[in-house]
Amino acid sequence: MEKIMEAVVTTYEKYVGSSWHMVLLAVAAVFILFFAKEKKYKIIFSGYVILFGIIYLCPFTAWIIIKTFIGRTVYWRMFWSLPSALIIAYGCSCLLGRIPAGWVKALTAIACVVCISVTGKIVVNMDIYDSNTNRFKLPAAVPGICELIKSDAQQQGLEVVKVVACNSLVSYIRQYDASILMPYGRNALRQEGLSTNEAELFELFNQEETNYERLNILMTEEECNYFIVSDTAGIKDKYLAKGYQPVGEIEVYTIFRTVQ
Amino acid sequence: MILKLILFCIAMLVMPFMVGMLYMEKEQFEEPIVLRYLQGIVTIWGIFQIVAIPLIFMRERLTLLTGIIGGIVCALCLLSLILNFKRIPYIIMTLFRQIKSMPWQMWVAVLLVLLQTVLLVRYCHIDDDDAFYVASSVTAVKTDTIFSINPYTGAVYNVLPARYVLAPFPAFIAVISQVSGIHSTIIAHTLLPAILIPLSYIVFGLVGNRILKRDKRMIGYFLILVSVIQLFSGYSVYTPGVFLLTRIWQGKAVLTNILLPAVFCLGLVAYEKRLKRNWIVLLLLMLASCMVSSMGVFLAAMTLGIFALINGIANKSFKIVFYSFLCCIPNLIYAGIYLFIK
Repeated sequence: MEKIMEAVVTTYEKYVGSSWHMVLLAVAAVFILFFAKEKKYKIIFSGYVILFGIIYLCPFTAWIIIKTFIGRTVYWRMFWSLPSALIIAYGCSCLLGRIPAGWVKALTAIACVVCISVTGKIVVNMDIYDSNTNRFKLPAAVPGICELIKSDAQQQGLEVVKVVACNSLVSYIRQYDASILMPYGRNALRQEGLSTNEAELFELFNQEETNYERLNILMTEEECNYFIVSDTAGIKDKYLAKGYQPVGEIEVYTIFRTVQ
Repeated sequence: MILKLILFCIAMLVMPFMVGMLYMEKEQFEEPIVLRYLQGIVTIWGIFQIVAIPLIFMRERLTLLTGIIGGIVCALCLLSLILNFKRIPYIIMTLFRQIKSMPWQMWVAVLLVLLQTVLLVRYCHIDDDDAFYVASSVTAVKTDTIFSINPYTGAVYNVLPARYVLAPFPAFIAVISQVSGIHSTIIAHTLLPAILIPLSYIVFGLVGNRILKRDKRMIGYFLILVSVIQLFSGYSVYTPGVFLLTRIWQGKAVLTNILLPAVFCLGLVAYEKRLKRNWIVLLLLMLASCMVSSMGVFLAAMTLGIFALINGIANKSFKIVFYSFLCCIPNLIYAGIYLFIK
């Protein structure tokens, strides 16, 4: 039970962070209780918050939910069932509803907006967003790389194209073109569902000083025709020195054909 | 591209609206028109879940799924057109009247929603989870399969991934892609946010409409506040607001921002007007929640369970609790299937 309670507390801290929105939620529930015009909604929304709180905090229910449905690591998803935006906004609306129309009401609304803003943290910032460079909204180099590989494969008469991609591209190639196969995708970054060969290939491909002979054997066994490296720390030159043929370069990426 | 966009708009805007019109009672126009859109899209998603799951297990083609879903939705639209043909001019007039009578508070709320929508349509947020979700849709269209192929690699699955097959939202995007001819990645990253972000606020607006007694000024304030809460919920990466404003095209974001709030909206509609059709929408909402995310199986049932219990107490009605329990039966079935195939 101690572990369950620890999960309950850490999940709460993880979800709420440094914000005071949960305090606002509690205040809003009280506002609803006192200021809502209809008795039914007083019971429904305040009651919902209380019952949710009990289910979330009670070690027994938390244990059942963690064991059977959600799992410890994502127990924070329980908060998705708590409509905090709805309840905070309704609580504020109940307060506003008690104030006669006019500038006092507008000022109170502004005060509510300010209160919500300073107790939270804005989502919209440029760390999260990027100006899209292609209509697929994928990293800028991805469409060019895929088109280059496909056109080269066509010239080479290859029917199946299988590519080993560097980690910065591994998640995006198949979002652009699912006809391109890969020995591993994002699952490798998470160490999920890899065969012995795939795991070794991933490991060797990500080493700065690697065993090129073994790498080549693995790429041949996995029937890979191309591989893409990001030219950091002169990796490209190392492959060139080993006799691999570059097909082309796009941004910092060099596309090689495998030696089979 | 214009023709493709028109097809997309028909599939994602016109058809759900027409299907939703089937729930309209005789001469009942006091409800906001957008409620019909919500009911329509929930119905389509619910039906999609019923059709898609057996096809996934039978390893059928995506084209077949598109054909069946397309056939059912077209038939429902045709039925709706026959039943509501005479009402359409009146409905359009009502819509314009509702827009015309909007107070400034509502216009501010609309502006805030538009800004958030434009933000995600114009800019991009590159999310690593798309390596599975979006790639699943692209793979489905390219190979004409549903969840038979590992989206990370393109290799055929020997065993279906239990965690994902019961929530075929990527297959829904693939169906829309097949119908419209637009690449799934463009649909997910650009077109869906343009529909799903406003839909999320429509759901909140509909709840506000009920609990604030149709007072448009108060609904306007309510929506402004919801909008500000979502905008300022960046205190952790797990909040619904972050999911809404960064990756609404993923099923779990649809669950937390549209379908779970819809439990309150459609729940209140069902509890206050105890008509059979409103309970059917609630049942379809539970199915739709399972369709968008495996987490929906539990979270939607729990949300409806708590809400029904409290409403049952507030209304002194056991019927509310019992009928709501019946609506959760699909969730129990899918939970059982999940435990069986896990």
